[in-house]
Amino acid sequence: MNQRVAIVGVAQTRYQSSRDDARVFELTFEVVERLLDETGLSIWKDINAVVSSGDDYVDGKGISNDQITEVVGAQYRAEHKVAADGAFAVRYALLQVLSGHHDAVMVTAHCKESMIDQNLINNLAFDPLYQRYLGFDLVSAAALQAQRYMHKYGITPEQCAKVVVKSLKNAKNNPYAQVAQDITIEEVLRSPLLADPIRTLDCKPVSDGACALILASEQKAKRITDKPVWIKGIGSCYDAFYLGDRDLADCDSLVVAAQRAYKMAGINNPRNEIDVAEISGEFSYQELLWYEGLGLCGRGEGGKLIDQGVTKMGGELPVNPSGGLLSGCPHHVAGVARVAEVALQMRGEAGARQVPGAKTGLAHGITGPCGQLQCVIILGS
Amino acid sequence: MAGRAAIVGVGQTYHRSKRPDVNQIEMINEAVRAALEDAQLTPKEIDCVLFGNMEQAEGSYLMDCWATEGTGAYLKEGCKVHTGGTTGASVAEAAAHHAASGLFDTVLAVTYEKQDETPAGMGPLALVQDYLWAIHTGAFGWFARMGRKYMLETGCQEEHAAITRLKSDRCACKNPHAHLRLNLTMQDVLNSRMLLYPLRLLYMCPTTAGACALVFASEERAPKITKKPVWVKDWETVHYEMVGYEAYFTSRMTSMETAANRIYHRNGITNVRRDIQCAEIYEPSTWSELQFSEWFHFCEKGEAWRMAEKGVSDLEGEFPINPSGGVVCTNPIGCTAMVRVAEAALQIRGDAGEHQVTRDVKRAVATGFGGSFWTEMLLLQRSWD
Amino acid sequence: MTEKAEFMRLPATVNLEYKYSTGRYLGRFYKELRDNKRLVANKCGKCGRVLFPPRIACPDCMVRASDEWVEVGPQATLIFFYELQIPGLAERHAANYLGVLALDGTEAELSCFEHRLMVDDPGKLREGMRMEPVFNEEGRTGRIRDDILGFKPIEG
Repeated sequence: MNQRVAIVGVAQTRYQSSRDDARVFELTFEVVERLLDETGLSIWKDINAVVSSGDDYVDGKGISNDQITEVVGAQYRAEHKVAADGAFAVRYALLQVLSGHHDAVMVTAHCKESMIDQNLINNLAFDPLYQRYLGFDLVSAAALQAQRYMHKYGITPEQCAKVVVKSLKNAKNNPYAQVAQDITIEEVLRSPLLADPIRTLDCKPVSDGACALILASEQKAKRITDKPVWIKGIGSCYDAFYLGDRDLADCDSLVVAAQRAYKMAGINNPRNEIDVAEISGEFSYQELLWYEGLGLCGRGEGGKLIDQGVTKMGGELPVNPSGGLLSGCPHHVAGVARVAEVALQMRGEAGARQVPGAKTGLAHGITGPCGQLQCVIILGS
Repeated sequence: MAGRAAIVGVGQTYHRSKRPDVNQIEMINEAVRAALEDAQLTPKEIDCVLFGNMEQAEGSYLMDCWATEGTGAYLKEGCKVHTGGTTGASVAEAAAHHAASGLFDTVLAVTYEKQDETPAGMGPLALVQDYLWAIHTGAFGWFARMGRKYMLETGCQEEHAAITRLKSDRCACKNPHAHLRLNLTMQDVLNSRMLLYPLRLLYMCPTTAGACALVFASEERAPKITKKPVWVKDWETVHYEMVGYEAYFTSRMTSMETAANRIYHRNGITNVRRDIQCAEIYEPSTWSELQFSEWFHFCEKGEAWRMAEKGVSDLEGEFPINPSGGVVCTNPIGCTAMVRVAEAALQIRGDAGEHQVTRDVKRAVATGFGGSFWTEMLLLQRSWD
Repeated sequence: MTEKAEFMRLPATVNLEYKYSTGRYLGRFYKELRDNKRLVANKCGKCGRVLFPPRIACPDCMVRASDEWVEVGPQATLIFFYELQIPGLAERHAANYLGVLALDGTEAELSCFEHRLMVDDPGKLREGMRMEPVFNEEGRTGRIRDDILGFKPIEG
């Protein structure tokens, strides 16, 4: 990177199963108001532009970002919507600073999954000519991926369930989490089956919320905070669209995205060099599969990694101290929130979920069925 | 210091009302192949693919993911950017940021709309309104009001709109990519169906199926790809509060004036028609070509219809506006603003063919219109300085 | 062999049912209109702009709206009107004429909205004329397009 760019402030709502008290863009205002309040920045003087993450289908409105103009300070100014996971909004905001056109960009994401059955929308992500009529949605596609992954590498349902147990336990330390509880592997395995082998507790819950953060150039960041969190590396990658064109047990696009991010950040051995990771697993098996894609272990060793406790709190490389998506975090918001959580870790401000001494962190976002589009961001204090 | 980016490849489909011979992916791929061929690049040489369309228009969620089949984004970086009617400009801006960031050498920007696959184009646009608020007739009501107000305030008569529409048609007839190429007469225009007074059918943009792709390159790479890079010197996005809340016509500053003022000020443009030689603007109706021209300071207030009458905005004129035929002739919505950028780039290169303007174009502006009366403006130049 | 290609189309309907929250601010508007036939707006605490429809923040100041609420209308000024000549539009909006209206007490330039016009003689429609709402009496929801059937000229 030709210059250093930092995260200088983050804000999240508490994630809840339904926020009937607020219109979807009012959630954005909640976090933007808090973000400005906490950083002491002026929306008009200090922030040059806004990148949002959202989608017309999810918001139930054409040109959905016209709702947020007035709550992000975009009156007579620039706001662009990335119609992908929030990690890509962070990525675009970073590029707006790297291009030298802006020195401070705000990233926002809002989503109320409670507005509509998400499976109806997700079905529209499949092409209308061949696949849509098969009734595909994220859950059934994930079931295919889970079957293939578990079959190819001998991953067990118990190992997947351990991800749920870990996530919901970690969430007890996260005041923003929607679901936090001590549960057992048996309880996960007894929860209702949605699409074999995916059970209710293997899925992220329906969630409403918002998250925002501010990126700034090095010069500006140092004026704003004495604890800037630097973006050290970033990479994204598309996989093939048709599920049959991919070996779903090997997440090629994540491997490529991670390699790009590691190269930029100068990371050779991610497992040793990364202190904490917040990754986007919409389903329990995905966390194990993403371990592999991220190179935290070898191919097929995701199950072993969780068995060994490497990724639990207090382990060698804690993953999702926040509880991750399984503890509740809506689409679009998920990626921004992952970055925000890692930024809090880098600042040493993650409270009860703080990983002591964390200096390098990884945030990860996904878009599309079975993680077709992947984004990896490396942060450092 | 701001990084530099250039357009090094331009491709678009032949825009038509219906393309039953191709599916969405195949149509997208036509534009992608055309842009790569223009840049003399192979898909392997592209680092990143940015994509956009009007999200709900074709009824597909996460369209960029399916589109990878046609864009060639497999194992490449990228994402989808969406801002309504301005999407084409937003994707171009995003590509410029990417190419100027120092992280990418080449970026492919792709937009499309296949309106023959949607119910009359009205379906998705109706969803733009705030569902919880009042009735909203959308574009027709807007541009009828714009026409009426413009006539009242400037003394413009309907025939001047017709003159402007004939200019668009003459240009479109010279542009093989344009959708409506009608060889119109004054009678044809004045007899076309009245939608909402004074907005006639021929003053309104059509529903089009088409795609456009642009290849952007970094400062270092661009001159190695082409002898005729078109530099994206500056850009500006101006948003405004939500449609349906606001009167659309206000005494407040418009996004067009705001964007133009900022671009001209930053780039030392003091005499617009001298310092810029051509404009490709997103004019959703003929009435907006007149009104927007004034807001973009292409002429004094109240003078745009006189400018049309005198032929100033013709292909051969002193300040050609929309030599491609513009949006009243071709409107694949999410792609329309990118076509403006593409056509402006071709004018600067001198590669527009039969619709190349007489004047030597060293610098041009391209604009996008959409959302809640939003504007995006890009300033393109033959040389950086 | 040159067989003429047959181009087929696959019909499909996308049917999505959303539940939109009105939230605190627009929700209060809905409740007042539904229960009391009152039209209300909130205000920006900084610049004093009347926010209609009511909302969480002032777009110009980007600060949270104050707790001050005001009643606006119900009388309004007709800013612009048109006959719905486009096929399908009249049916969709259940009206032959639509108007752009500004309620008394709101800033016309920022808060006008479109609604049905209920007129016996459309020839008498004039920009700037005074109008009043005709309320729907049954099955009220609080939504402005349902609970107000249309606007009619004020007699006299």
